[in-house]
Amino acid sequence: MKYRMNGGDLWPFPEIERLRSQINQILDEDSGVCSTGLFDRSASPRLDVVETDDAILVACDLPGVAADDIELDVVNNVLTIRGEKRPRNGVDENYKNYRRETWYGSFQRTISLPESIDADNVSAELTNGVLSIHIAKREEHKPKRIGIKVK
Amino acid sequence: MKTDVQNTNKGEVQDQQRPPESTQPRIYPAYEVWESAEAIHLRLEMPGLDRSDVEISVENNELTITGSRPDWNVNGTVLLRERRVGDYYRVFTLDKTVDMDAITATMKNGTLDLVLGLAKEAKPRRIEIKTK
Repeated sequence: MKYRMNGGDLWPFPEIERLRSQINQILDEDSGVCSTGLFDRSASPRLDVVETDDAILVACDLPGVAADDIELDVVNNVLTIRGEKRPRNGVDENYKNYRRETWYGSFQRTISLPESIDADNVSAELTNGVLSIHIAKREEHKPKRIGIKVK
Repeated sequence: MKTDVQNTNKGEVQDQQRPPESTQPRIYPAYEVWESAEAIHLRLEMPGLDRSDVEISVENNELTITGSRPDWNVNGTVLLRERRVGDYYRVFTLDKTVDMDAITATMKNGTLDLVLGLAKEAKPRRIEIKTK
């Protein structure tokens, strides 16, 4: 069998191009879940963590999750976000489901926080499907500016 | 890549991707689509967006959903960054069974719910058989 490249019948590149654009689209799709390890029983929603001078701020994407279904705790400087993302209401036998890219079920994220945080001073709010957590640092760890006197 | 638009089953919403002209990275929001007796339901996940940040338009049987996700502007050291920043964008091609004037949208908890009413002729219609 003669293998013809370059314009021949077996020219593979259109197929490869198609495959590449499909893969790119999959990568651009936002499933909302960052990673699920091999042994994870729960989904891992995406997180952002930013440290400022006086606090650690955490943002977590939880679209469609009710505030009552989210549990948040800080134990030994480990922050745990866990909960349940419930499927849509009114699932009916007569409904025809065509496609679903979203996920449902339990989720959990844990992050280790530095020693400097004040576990009693944590606040959280859920806005537009984003959970924002504000973890204050203890007073003695906040940077203090020392004024220099000029004599 | 272009998906061929064809009339498939009743009420089926076809998904068609075409990159918009934008400098921001685009995010295709995850969605769910299902059909009840009188409507097609679309649910898209767009966390971080308020009702006013989302734009929905219908033109030439194409339902376009766009929304710009505001950047999380915090002065500090970024320790972890997994959330996407960019423009949400997704286009659905609607077939004739959808009534273009009967589309409603609600936004709650970062999810956009669209109800696309089915056109009258698309609803099941019983045809009488006449006997002579």
